[in-house]
Order: sequence, then C-alpha cells, then structure tokens
Amino acid sequence: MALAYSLPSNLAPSTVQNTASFLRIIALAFISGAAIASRLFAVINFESVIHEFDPWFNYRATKVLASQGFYEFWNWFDPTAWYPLGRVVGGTIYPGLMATSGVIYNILHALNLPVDIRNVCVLLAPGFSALTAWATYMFTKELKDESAGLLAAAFIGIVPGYISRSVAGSYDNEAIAIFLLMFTFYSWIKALKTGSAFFGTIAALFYFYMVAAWGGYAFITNMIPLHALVLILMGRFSSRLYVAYSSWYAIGTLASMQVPFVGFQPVRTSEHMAALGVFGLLQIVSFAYLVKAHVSSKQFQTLLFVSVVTIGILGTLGIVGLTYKGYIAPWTGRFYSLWDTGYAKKYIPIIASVSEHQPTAWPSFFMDLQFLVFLFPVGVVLCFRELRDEHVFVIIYALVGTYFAGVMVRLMLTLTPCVCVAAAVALSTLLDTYIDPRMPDTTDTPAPDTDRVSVAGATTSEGTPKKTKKDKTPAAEVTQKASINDFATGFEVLGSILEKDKPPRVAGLDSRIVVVGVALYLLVFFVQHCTWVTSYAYSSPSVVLASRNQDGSQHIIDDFREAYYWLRQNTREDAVVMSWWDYGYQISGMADRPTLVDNNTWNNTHIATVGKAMSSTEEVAYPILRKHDVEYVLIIFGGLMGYSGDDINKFLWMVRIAQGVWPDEIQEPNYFTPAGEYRVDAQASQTMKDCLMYKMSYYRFSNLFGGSTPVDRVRNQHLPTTGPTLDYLEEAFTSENWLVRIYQVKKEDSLGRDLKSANAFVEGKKRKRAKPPVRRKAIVASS
Amino acid sequence: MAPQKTATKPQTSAPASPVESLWKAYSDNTSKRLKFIDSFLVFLMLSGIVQFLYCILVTNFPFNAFLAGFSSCVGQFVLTASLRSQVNPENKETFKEVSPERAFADFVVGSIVLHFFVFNFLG
Amino acid sequence: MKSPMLVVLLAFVASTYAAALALQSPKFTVSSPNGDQIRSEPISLTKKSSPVRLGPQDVLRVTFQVTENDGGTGVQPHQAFLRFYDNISGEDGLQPVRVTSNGKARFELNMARPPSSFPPTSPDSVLKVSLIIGSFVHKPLAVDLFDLIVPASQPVASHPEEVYYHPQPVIEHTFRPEQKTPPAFISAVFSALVLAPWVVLVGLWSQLSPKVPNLFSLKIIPFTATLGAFELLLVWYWVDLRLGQVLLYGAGLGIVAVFTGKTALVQVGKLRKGSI
Repeated sequence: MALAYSLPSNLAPSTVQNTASFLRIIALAFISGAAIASRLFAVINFESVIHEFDPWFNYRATKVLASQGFYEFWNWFDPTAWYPLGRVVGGTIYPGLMATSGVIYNILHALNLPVDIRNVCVLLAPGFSALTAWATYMFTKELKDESAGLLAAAFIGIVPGYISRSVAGSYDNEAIAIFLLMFTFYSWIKALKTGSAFFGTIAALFYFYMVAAWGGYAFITNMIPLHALVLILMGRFSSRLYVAYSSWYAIGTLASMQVPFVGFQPVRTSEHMAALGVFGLLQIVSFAYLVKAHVSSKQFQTLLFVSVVTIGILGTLGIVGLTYKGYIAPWTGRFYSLWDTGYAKKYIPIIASVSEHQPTAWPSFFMDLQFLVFLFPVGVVLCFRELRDEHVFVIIYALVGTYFAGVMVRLMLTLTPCVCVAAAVALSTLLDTYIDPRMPDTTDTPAPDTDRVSVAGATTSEGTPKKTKKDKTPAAEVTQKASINDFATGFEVLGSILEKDKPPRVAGLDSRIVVVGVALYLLVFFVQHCTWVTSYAYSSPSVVLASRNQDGSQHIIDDFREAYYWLRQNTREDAVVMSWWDYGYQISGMADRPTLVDNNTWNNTHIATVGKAMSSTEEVAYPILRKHDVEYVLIIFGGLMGYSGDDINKFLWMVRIAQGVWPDEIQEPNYFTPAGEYRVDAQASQTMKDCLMYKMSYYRFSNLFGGSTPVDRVRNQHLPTTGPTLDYLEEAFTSENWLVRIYQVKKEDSLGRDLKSANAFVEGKKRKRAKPPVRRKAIVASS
Repeated sequence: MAPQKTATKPQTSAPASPVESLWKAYSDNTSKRLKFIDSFLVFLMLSGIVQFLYCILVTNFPFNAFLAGFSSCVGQFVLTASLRSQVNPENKETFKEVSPERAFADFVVGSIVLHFFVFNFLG
Repeated sequence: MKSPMLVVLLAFVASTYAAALALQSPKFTVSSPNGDQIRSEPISLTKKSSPVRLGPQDVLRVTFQVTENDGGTGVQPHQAFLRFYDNISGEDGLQPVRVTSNGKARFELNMARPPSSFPPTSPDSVLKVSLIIGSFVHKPLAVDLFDLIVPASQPVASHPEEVYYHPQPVIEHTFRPEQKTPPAFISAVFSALVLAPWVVLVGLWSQLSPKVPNLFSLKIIPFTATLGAFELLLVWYWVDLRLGQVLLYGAGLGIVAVFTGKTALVQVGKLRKGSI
C-alpha cells in the first residue's frame, strides 16, 4: 500500500505503545497546567479575592465549617441573615462545595501546610478544572479514542464557556459540579458498556456528590433515564442496560436523599419521577425478557408484550394520578421557566430579575465557544455514523443541552462539555483522516466518474463493519486531484466520512499539509481567543473593578470593599443593614452585619418588603425601616462612575417584585414618564422623584458639579440642579467614586415631632400654627 | 418489587398450560446456582412488599426509616438481579468483560455502599 | 435613723408653707342664646346641687375666687383647670381657666361653639365638672362642682393609632401534630410479617441445599470475614459512630477487603476453571 510519507519501520509495537501512553500523560499534564494557569488571570490582575455574590456566602459557610467542624456546620442557624427571620443554613444549602474545601483544608493542615482557607477557596475552581479536563478525556475516550480525548480535554480546559464559571476566586457550586457531571456521565457510559455494577455504583456515588454540590443535578436525574428510555425504544434493551441503570438508580436515589436540602424530593416531586418510571419499566422489560427466554410459545409472547405495554401505560397514568391528587408535587416554577421563557417574568419576577436567567444572545455562543460552534454539529453527525449506545447519549445530550443553553445564559455551562466532546470527535476524525499516511488504493476498478476513483472495500483494513447500517452509496469518493481544490477535497472527505464502511483515504501530501495547517491555524486562533476572552471578560472579580488611566496603566476601583470595611469598622456589630438582595451575601461576608435579604431568595415577601421600602416615599418607608430595626441602608450608585449595574437600573425589578405583593400601593407605570420612558432627569414622574431609591441615589449629587448641570453618566441624562432632600435618613458614608452610598436611618424625634417638621424647624422654617383637633362634632339636625 | 408482582398478574389470568410450561421450563433449564439466587430474590421481593403494605395500610412514620428499609430491599434486589444476569451462562456474550468473580466483586462493592446509605438513612 | 427624721422635718416644713386654698363664692349661671337667665345658683361645695342642663345654644358661666385659707386674701394659683369627665365613656376634657391676680376667675362655655377640648357625649352621659387648682406654694385643690348634662354629640371617632394600644394576640407556634405510633398489636403483627420472608428464604435454600465446599478454605475465609466486619462496622455506625469515624474505618477495611477479595476471587476463579 502506498504511503504519503515514510514511517519508521524498525520500532517494536510495544515501544510505540509505551511512547504513546507516555506522551498522553505528558499532554494531559500540560492540559491541566494550561487549564489551571489560564484561570489565574483574576489573581494576577487583581488579587486573591473571592468574586461576585454567591461565592461570598460559600466562603463564609466554609469558614464556619473549617473552624467549627462538620456537625456544627450541619446544624448552623444563621440569625444575621434574613433579619429578623434567620436562616437554617445547614438544611438549605448544597454542602458539597464547602465539604470539599473543608476536606482539602484539613488535609493540607494535617500535612503541616498552613494554607489560609481563603486561598483554598480561591484556587478550588482552577484545581477542579484540571480534573474536569481529565474526566472529559476519559469520557471522549469511550466515545472514540485517546487522541479525541486529548483534544476534548484541551478544549474543555480553556473554553471560555467553562472558564466563565471557574476562574480563580469564583468559588461557586459550578466550580466542582462540571467535573462531577462529566465523571458521572463517564461512569454511566462505562457501566453501560461493560455492564458492570461496579461502575454503576461509582456513577451513583458521583451522582450523590453532584446532588450534594449543585442544584443542577436534576440534569443528570433526567438525562440518564432519557438515554435509557431512548435505548429501550430503539430496541436496544440488554442486560447491561439493566445492570447499569438499576445499580445507578437504586443506590443513587437512596444516596441523594441523604442531602437534607433534597430530602424526600426524589420520591415526592415530578422532576424525579422520570427516573423512577424508567426504573420500573426496566424491571418489567427485563422480567419479560427472562420469561421469554424460557417460553417459546408465540401466543404467550404476544400476551407478554401486551401486558408489558399495559403496565407501562398504567404506571404512567398512576404517576399522573398521584400528581393530580397531590401526593407528588407538580413541577416547580423554576422548571416551568425552562419550557416557557415568558413564565418567569410573569409569575416569578425574582428569577427573571437575574441577568443570567435571561435567554442567551447568539453572540455569546460564539464568544463562549468560538470555532467549537461549527465543529459541534459535525461531531454530532459523526456520532450517528457509529451510533453505539454512548453515541446515542451524546446526541441526546447535545439536543437537550443546546435547548437549555438557548433558554438561559446560565445553562451554557451544561452545554459546554458536550460541545467540547463533539468538536473533539469531529476534529480528531478530520486529523485522523489527513494524517493517516496510507494512500487510496488506485489499483481498483475505476468508478463511472472519469476523474474520480472509488475507494474499494478492499482497503478496509480495520474490518468489523457494522451490519445494521445500510449503505447509502457504494463507495466513498475522494478526488485525486486534491491539489486543485483542497477545500473541495475537505468537504468531500468529510462527506465520505459519513459513509461508515470504508475509511476514507487522502491522496498526496500537499492536501494533507493544507488541511492540517488550516486546522492548526484554527486551533491556535482558538487558544488566542480563549486567552483574550478570559483575561478581559471573565476574570473580573466584580468586587474590585478596574479601569484604564489615560496613559494605559490600570486603575483599581475598590469602592465596594471600602464601603464594606467602613461598615465593619464604624457601626455596631448588630446594626441591621438593608440593601437590595444582590448585596446581601457580600455585606454579611465582608462587613459581617445582619441583612434583611440576601442572594438566597427563599422569601419573596421579605424581598418585596425591601422593594416596597425602596420604591415608596420616605414617609411610607420610614415605618417599614423602623419596624425591621434597620439602621443603615446601602445602595449602589453608578451615576458618577458610569457603572451600569447599579441600583437605579435594577430599580424596576424592585418595583415589580413589590408590586407582586402590594399591587394597590406600588404600580410600575407610575415610575415611568407619561411617554412611557424610564427617566431620572427633570421629566421623571413624581412618584419616581419621591421614592426613597431615587432620593438616596441623587442626594447631594448636584453639589459635585458646583452649579453646572449634573450628569448621570450611566443613563446619560441631565439632572435638575437642585437635588432631592432627605428627612428620615441621613447620609453616613459615600465611597470614593460614589459607587456605594450608605445612609443612616434617623431615630424618632426626641420631642415627638415627625422628622419632617423637626427638620423644617432645624432649617428655620416657620411652622404654621395649627389648631388642636376638635374632638367633639355636633350632630347636624336631620330636619 | 411491586412492578414484578404486577407483572405476574396477567399470566395467572392466562390459560394454565403456559404458566405450567413456564414453570417446567424454568425448573428444567435453570442451574442450582441460579435457583439459589432466585430464592434470595423472592425473599427480597416478599420483604419489600410487606414493608410497602405496612407503609400504605398502617403508617408511613417514620418515613426515612421506611424508605431505608424499602430501598434496601429494592437496591439489594436489583444488585442481586444484576449478579444473576451476569453469572447466567446464557448472557456470556453480553458481558464480555465481566467474569462471574468480577460480577461478585461488583455485587459486594455495590451492596456495601448501599448498606452504608441505608444505615445512614435509618435514623 | 436618718430618713424618718427627714420625713418629719419635711412634713413640718410643708405644713407651715402649704397653707390650704379655698374657693370663695363659686357660682354658675345658665343663660339662653338671647340672654335670658335660665338658672343661676351658688355652688355648694358640700352638697351637690341638681344636674345642670344645657341646651344646644345655651351659655354656661362659672365664677369663683381663689383665696388662701377660708376667707383670706385672693391669690393667683399657677394653674387652674375645669375638668369635664364623662363617667360612662371615660372621655374627659381639660379646659384651662384664667385666674386674675386677685384670685377671681370667670369661665364661659358656649354650647354653640364649645372649646376644642370639650369631650364628645352620648345622649345619657352626665359630665362631672370639677375644678383642679395647682400651686407651687399651696396644697393642690380639687373640688367637684356640679354635674352637667349637655346635648349629645356624634360618637367618639377612634384615633388612627388606637389599634396599636391594645394587647396583641399572643403568637402561638403551631407544630406538626405528634406522629402516632400504631398499636403494639399491629406493630407486632407486621414485625412478624416482615420477618416471615426469612422463613421462606431458609425453606427455599434448604430445599436447594447449595454446596459450599470451599467456604472454609484459607484463601476465602478472610474475605468473608472482612465482609462480615463491614456489616458490623455499619451496625456500629448506626448505634454509635459518627460519620468521620466510619469513613476512616471503612477506608481501612476497604483496603484489607481489596486484598482478601482479590486472593479469594482468584482462587474461586481457578476452582471454577478447574471444574469445567
């Protein structure tokens, strides 16, 4: 057989094998290194700090776990959150993340490595991304081969879609959850392939870990049953499927119920019923197969088939009936919002108010996945080519994942591993074809087409053609004149790849070099893109902001921490701080003060109370504040700096959430101008100008401009030169760039006046002498 | 196992001869080893059914203890059923990589993990 | 020792300075809107006169002089109020009275335009009118003057904050009802039922009577022993141990089990291959 380039022939096969596995290990080590290193931009550009919002709570919880031990953590009741309600933390969190870093912390200390718990937390996500790369390698290896696995590992290591959730300091559940997701899937595939209960048990254990770590475990809970169901419907039931699924489900479900936050949900809610249903179906089907093996009577088998179908239908009806009767909880709102994207906005404004719950904009697909977007469909199509059980899994995963990623920005994360796997399969197939030195065999009979040669079946050296697939065309076609049009060749080769029986061959060295070169160029460009996106877009801690000075040097804006430390240093330890819920975790984490609401949005009414206080007038808000013992109100104001994520921009959500509870007192349209615009300047509606949030934001703002017109740089609007006045609150602190403003709630006037008139008195305004009220009212004669 | 139980129902309504022939085929073609496992399966099934009846007829309190007991039966049942199908010589083609010893080791590992969770859940 | 002395001393001082106040010639007059006198009487401080009735337009005048002791010189007290108190509704009104420097005072109540402090009344309410006089140097004086019946007004409008001045209902925590344990008999029956399958199991197994020729061979018994140890450990966990301990011991036992299991199963595999 002709070779495109010469291969060394004097090597023993064992040498080749050892070198290959050695190289694989080296490559995996490098991939892990790259995965970790690319996530350290955040630490290098800023510092080793916990990012964003939720991580601050996780960090705080981890500190409790590390300092007080596991059982204390389990029973932790936090009286400072959701003041005055408090929060049972142990029973309302997924403890997997904290437990993981607690274990790592304890191990390091047992080895006499006195690492700070904060650094463990900051570096946990990068560390686990290396493990994710390894798990993806193992998964892809089961699909295709080792080289595809290495490609997939490299992709998942640096793809921005995953980096966005796992940079150093982003200490959130997703940091470890993606590793667990991939490893659970890997064990499932492995269990299915070998039919081993051992791997089923491993899958169950990692499923348990996943349940303990992330609410997204429901994805696994429904993916695996869906896969099993599809396999049954495709007529691919086997004892292996029975062993793998049953061992996974029986152990995994029992294990998942050990997590207090999940509790009895696996037997009580609709989200988990699919898994139970498939489990029951599998038992019936396998029993039927067993009976079938013993009885050959045709009539009996028909009866068996009918009875299996009847029981299946009856079971489904039973589950529906139980749901109807209320024994099984129906789908939750969060689930509905996945099917109907408008649902959340209508019924659960809290969920809709989070930006990462919005539908995904298409450019972010490209931003997060770059050229993997194009390779992804190719990989999925290639999965159809072999269509073993595990390929069916990838195809289902791709469909489901794509849908979910389109519905919610946040779920891009679950799609990313699948994209990496599929793209790696596609790219490695391409490279395999083009690097393979064997030339097409030209000695065979020429095809009817004059300048083309069909590659005959004789060249199939791999053998073992699959019998189920029907041939579409007799032979794969590859042009000989590859040098004329390499891209055409590329497409045709890809096309011929789809013809599964005959592995395609490429002629000539030049076409190989061009195609491989283009692929390499794409890869290099991908690396460059990932590095750029990571360093610029995804590494900002959002607690610390950065801007560029005019000379290009970096300017750090540290207003948040400045304000939180001010609170920590200057207020009483039990002073309640009210803010919008986004900042609850940060206040309790950095300032260590009780908060009314925080990012664990479990109590809608409480949040609506805060929203009402923010969106009503001072007179209305003051009793609310006093009743909740609020001493300080913290708001974020970006008008001076041009920081668009400030409270005025979130304000409409506060109004909407408050309106959901008090529709008579708060109405969204009142906050718009008559023309329906959302304005903060002189044309703003009176309700808007009177509300607490507006007043707190622009209080004394005009003083900054010394008489000239004040400009809000976020909304690009000119404000009136005389700003609002405050009677019931007084300014306590404003950070350097006015990003955080803290107001103190005044106590009741010591002379019993209302604060408005007390203020007027201080300012020297004469009060109109009012007559005392007349208590006695004469009866008016009826005649 | 509830579904198993219901699965047998239609057969009893069928003419007696197929059931008899089924029973005959079963006792003739099944090795002693498999019958040994099968009797264990029957035992687990009966235990599970009794516990389920108790839950429905009397009380489901304490629910976690019931779940632990019931799912230990179910879990042990499916693990044993897996073991049975793995050591069944008829399935040799399906389980190329699983020798009977390996199957037993899997069974042991699965059972220990299952029992750990059962005891953890028992309360 | 010290305090009783002090009290005695203070009492002595008070008695010397706090000479009593008295009312001289208290008198009231009721006149109709056109100026006709309807009733005019001196007020007896010892015996109450019959209630004074006022029409919707009538005017009540009260005059008196405040003197030091009985028949002494007139003094100006620091404060003087007329109190109108409704016994039934508990409403009252305090109206300050201006007293001149020689102790003379005159108060006029025009029912057409009552002062803002005047309490609302119901048809059958009788207002007790009393005079309260306070002074720095004299003992305070409070005298009931007479009863007053005035036309009814509209009922009392409740104060907007009135609701806050009542005892709030006690917050009672509601707990889930205690779970009932079934009767002992039913428990016993079901315990027996749950144990019954063991009989079935033993019966079936004894019928099959499986042979375990190699159970007690040296290579296999450690494995069965470790498995037994595992179950014991888990029971111990249920009874006593904590999670961390059981994971630690379990890991140790697991390592042992891997080795014993490997030897045992290899042995079994050999036996099986040999037997085939």
